[in-house]
Amino acid sequence: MVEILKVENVTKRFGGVVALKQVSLTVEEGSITSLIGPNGAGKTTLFNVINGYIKPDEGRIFFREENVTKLPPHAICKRGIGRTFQKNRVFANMTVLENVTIGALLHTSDVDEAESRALESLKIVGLQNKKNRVVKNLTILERKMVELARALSTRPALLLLDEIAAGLTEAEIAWLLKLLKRINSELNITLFIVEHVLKFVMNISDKVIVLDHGVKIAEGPPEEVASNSKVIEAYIGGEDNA
Amino acid sequence: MIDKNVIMGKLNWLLILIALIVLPFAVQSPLLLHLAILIFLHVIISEAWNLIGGYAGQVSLGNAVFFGVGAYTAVLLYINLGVNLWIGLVIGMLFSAILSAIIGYICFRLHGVFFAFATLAVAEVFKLFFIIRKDITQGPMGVVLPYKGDSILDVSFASKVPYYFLTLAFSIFAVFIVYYISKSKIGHYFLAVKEDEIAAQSIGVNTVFIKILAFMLSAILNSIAGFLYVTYIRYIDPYVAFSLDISLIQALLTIMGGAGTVWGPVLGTIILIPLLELFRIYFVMFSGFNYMLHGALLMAIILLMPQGVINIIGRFIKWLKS
Repeated sequence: MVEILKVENVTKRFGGVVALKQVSLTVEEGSITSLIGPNGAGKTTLFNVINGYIKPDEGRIFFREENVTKLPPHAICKRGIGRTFQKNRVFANMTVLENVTIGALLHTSDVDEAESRALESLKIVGLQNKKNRVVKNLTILERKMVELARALSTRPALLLLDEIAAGLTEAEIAWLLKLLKRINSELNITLFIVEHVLKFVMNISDKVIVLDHGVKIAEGPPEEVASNSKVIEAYIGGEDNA
Repeated sequence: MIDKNVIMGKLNWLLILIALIVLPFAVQSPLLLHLAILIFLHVIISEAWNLIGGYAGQVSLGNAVFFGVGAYTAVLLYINLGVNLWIGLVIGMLFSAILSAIIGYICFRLHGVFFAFATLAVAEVFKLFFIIRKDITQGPMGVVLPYKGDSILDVSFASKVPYYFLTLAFSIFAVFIVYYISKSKIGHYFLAVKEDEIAAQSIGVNTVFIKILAFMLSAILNSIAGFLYVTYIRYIDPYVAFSLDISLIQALLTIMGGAGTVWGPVLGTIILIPLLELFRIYFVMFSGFNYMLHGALLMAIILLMPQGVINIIGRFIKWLKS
């Protein structure tokens, strides 16, 4: 399989705290890869490094063999990496359609064309009937879907989803699983997911990567990782994680 | 089928335009003409602030810099080097655009209220520079633009009517620019930056570039207003050109009318400028009283209708229709 993303020996320190320590990993094109780990393991930091919001102290990021380590976030988006945020970052005072249209404007200057593309993205996440609603009046799931549709409308090759299942009900998670699988297979978008909900991860992932205290402690298929003793220790055994 | 509403809409605009063209011939009062010119000038600067503050969400309190640069560039080039005023206008716009890009590049590292303070400081620095550098600017005495008889080339007229049309034309231009931008990709990106810069970056918006672009457009419009002001009043000094008043009034009018809407600043100007002028005329014996009313009005509007007058009117029309 072809690597779409390669993280090479990335280290990031915040003052005395080492958030990421010599982390290397790869994401294969077309796959669904998950990144798990206890709170404070450095998952979101790693996402922020990949997206260019945080520059690493050491190490490099390659997207389709191009070194994107030093690029700003908007340039990284243009290369084809989209993302959603752990704490939802929709344009709250705009309508659903306006939110997604702004994403679609990345590839066109024609607002009408962007709008029709935005509608396609909204259909995928099932929000086309609420396109004229102001986003701040929507439910959590709907807002997450606006953010997802907005990211989709930039037509990414790789989509980084930061805890998209957090705060959702069982039924909503089941629905979301189906949606993400469809996005992966039908739209051909590689998914890289940070997630707390383990059931979600085990169900959807081709590969799972585990971070603990900024160090990668395991990488492999879900079943293998779930039985890995280091992972079990990190999640339930280690005293400092209790 | 042609939509009847579209035709009616266009007809309404045509009627308003005809009324505006006939007005100076029907109304002979110089006071009213002066008021109209003031309104048009303020429409230009409030639409300018609307772009950077209303759409892009960056509260600039130093836009007087570009007003002053627009006024001074044309006048100083004209007096010292004999450069035609209209060419001076274009050079002033160019200066303002370059200056705003530099100031923006530096100040946009700051956010929110810190950006506002930085721009405020920049305007003070410019005022001091123009006061101190007497060799270039003629210092605090200011510059007089000599009257050259009626001449379009020298932008010099005895009557107020030509100034009326000049300022009217440029205020229509300003509204048109804002209308066009609000419908375009840039306008959508302005709003995205105002809502959430980090989210905007994640969908490919170069937020630094977008903010600088908004600042440049705002600066160019201010520069035009400065030019029109000095050709009308025929005198400029650093205290007026770079005054806090000019920086603040454009923000006030826009916020009162409705920031981030095409017609909000126009509405704010039409309501407030005549009021302020009336206060100034009728409360002349209590110096500063007009400022108190000014402040009270601002507080009332921010408290009672934070989204501006245009929002209230919009809701009222909706309520009438339902």
